[in-house]
Amino acid sequence: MPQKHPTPLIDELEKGAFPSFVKEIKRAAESSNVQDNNYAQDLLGQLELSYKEKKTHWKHGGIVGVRGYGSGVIGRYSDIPDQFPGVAHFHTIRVNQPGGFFYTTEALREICDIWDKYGSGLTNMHGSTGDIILLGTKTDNLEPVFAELSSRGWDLGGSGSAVRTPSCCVGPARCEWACYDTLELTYQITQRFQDELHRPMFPYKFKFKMAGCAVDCIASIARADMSIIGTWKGNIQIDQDEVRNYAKNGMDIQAEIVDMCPTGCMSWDGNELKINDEDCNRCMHCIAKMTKALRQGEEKGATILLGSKAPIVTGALMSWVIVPFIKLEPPYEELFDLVERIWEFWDEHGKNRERVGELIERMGFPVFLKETGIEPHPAMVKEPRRDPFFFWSEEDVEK
Amino acid sequence: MSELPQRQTDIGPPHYSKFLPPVIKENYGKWRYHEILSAGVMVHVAESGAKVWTVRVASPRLVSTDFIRDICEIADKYCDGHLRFTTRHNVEFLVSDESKVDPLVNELKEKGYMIGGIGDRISNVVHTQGWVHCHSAATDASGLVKVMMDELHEYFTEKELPAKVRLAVACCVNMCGAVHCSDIALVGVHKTPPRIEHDKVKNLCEIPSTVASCPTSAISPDPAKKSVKIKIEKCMYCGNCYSVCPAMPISDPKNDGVAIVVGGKVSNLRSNPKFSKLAVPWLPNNPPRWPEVVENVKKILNAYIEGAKKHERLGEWVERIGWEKFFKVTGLPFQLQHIDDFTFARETWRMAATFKW
Amino acid sequence: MDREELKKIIYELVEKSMGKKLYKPGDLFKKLEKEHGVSKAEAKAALRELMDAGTLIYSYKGGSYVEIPPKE
Repeated sequence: MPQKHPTPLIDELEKGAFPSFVKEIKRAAESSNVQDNNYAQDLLGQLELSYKEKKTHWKHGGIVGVRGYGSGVIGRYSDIPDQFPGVAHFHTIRVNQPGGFFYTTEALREICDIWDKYGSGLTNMHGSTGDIILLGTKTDNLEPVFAELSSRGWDLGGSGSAVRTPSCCVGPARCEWACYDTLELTYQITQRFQDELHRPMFPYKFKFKMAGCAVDCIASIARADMSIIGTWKGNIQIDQDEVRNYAKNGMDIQAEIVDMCPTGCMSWDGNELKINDEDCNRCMHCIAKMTKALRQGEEKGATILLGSKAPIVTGALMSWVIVPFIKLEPPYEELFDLVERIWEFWDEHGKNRERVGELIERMGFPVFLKETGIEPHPAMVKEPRRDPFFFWSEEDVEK
Repeated sequence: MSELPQRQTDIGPPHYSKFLPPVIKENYGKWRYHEILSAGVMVHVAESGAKVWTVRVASPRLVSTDFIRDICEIADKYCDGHLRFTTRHNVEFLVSDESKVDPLVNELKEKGYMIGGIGDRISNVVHTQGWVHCHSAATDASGLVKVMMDELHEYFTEKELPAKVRLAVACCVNMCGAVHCSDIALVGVHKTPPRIEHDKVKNLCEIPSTVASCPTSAISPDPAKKSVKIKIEKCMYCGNCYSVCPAMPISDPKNDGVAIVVGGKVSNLRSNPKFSKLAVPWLPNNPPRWPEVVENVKKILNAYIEGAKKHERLGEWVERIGWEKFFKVTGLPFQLQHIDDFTFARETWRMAATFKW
Repeated sequence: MDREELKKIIYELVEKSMGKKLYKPGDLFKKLEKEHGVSKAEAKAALRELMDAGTLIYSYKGGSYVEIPPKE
């Protein structure tokens, strides 16, 4: 029987209305399904100590992984293993999630059974990048878990200086706004770049996130080096009867729709909604509020943006436009070709731990466009430069 | 030990089509519209007239395998063995037969699941690992989520807000959660520079990359000690050096705390995506229930509810009224730390004579 | 270049720099191209064989590096 630690502080977090993670750790600590309850039991003990001392008790990284891969396992060790031997090793395994986070119960149970046999019985559904996170096992169990998982069709996700596990919104599976097949593109990108995902070869991480429309439920513009956001060309399709129904059911179309349109391209006379589509910037507000009445234009595709990251080190970046419009249909060769050109540029110039967005900032967006062969387009900027300090190349000047 | 199966590499994830419920497969890419029926139930209607009802419940993200087995059992009973998760850690049960919706909702309620998170409400909180699993955590993440949502859960299950309010928690400034673009977000921060364990630097760290890791060039080599030194006045406590060099721990229980940032968004609806901005620079790390943090979050949320127009996200509301007024209506003190002195500082200073008293 | 010879060069590069410089795979590829005229594809394939055999491993120190596995 594993040793039970008194946990008065974290017990406080079993109280209250919202689902409790402490209850979940306790379940894993007591579950008869979990083969080794020491992981969760000692996790409770160590967590209680962190709550008491207000500091973490995990050591920095370490060298663990499965053979041949440099990615997918995060090494984690307790800094007080004598006190909590159950979490002396507490490595995380990232498992590449299926697109759109859809599962059969059969598949989920299969993963649970493997994890109960070799790990803590604790998971994150899902981690911040999108992977299934199997939380806590020891070094000797890594190969067995990988053999069990991969023989059943599951592979590890990305970590370190690699392609991180691509992820997407629910897309065409259950959303009328998906302008391209986010699940299929995510699958194809993941398959195409398996080597780059498992064997870290880049200056730093590279994330892809696929959002079906500008609502961006996968937060691609903030959290992906390459953000692929669905959009369209052509007029918004209006069902005037349905517009009138919304008005009849209490929607103040003038205040809630027309006045909130960022481009002022709409008008409403109490009977008919008019849109000047030439001025529309496709923000999705009107469509999102009147799902029955308005539909996107018919020519669908995506905008590709590049470069977002959290503030470490020189400040947060959001992705910015590099390709205003691209049709995204299998086999996606145009996109893959673009990705490879971007990586070549990054490989050539990137410093250690420099994300692609930071590199472009350092080298200059024009240099990036020139070297990757992307044509400049007004959609790439909010406004042209304010200073007169621009470069010309040799062919631009008279000899 | 029993014989292990043959490992395979580079196979990637299973194809999603293996896991889609029949109604999804049949109407893939052919959805017409959707309607939100209650805080936790919506229906999507396909061109064909087929419908799928979604019932959403919260999860603590950190879940046991037994939790997963429990939801599987429910999905077997009502959803022919299919379920999905959202990008914000909720569980979604998908039902193609309307007569199963109410019994499903009732059983979920009976079993104590928290149903909600759809529409203009607070959905689940995106967050990081904290003291549960991270070496650089300045605070716990799951705990902060729990205490915040214990107070705000009615906005998940029932009450409507002017627009969606996206919450996030990151346990350090690495911000592995979407803190930098959320309506209200918490981030663990340090207030003191790292300590250098000179005897360990030689074995654990590569000096050039440690020096290069510092965004303010505060770190330089110390050849005499075969280590590095820090210009304390240049250090902004980001901890990036610690990520590269384990011999430079930065955690400081007395001074580590929680900052609150607000007004970010990722959607393009109405206004462009926005970064979160600093509302409260430091609150004490006060586990297990962080009362100061919760109180300040409620203060901000209440001011937003009071002042925002329908459909206005928190950041849009603040931009309409002005940040100077935000500090007035929330009662939060404005201090030196609110004024940016980093990379994008200049863009944030007021270069106009127009502001509100 | 002969694959086995290339593998030996890579291993020695990593071995000699132990305690002084950590190599990222990209650094190795660039060095091999410059000093031995080896293409990136060739270098990648050789590194992969070394990794698959466990002769070299990837490590993570705020970024991914190539190292010799620690002695147990």
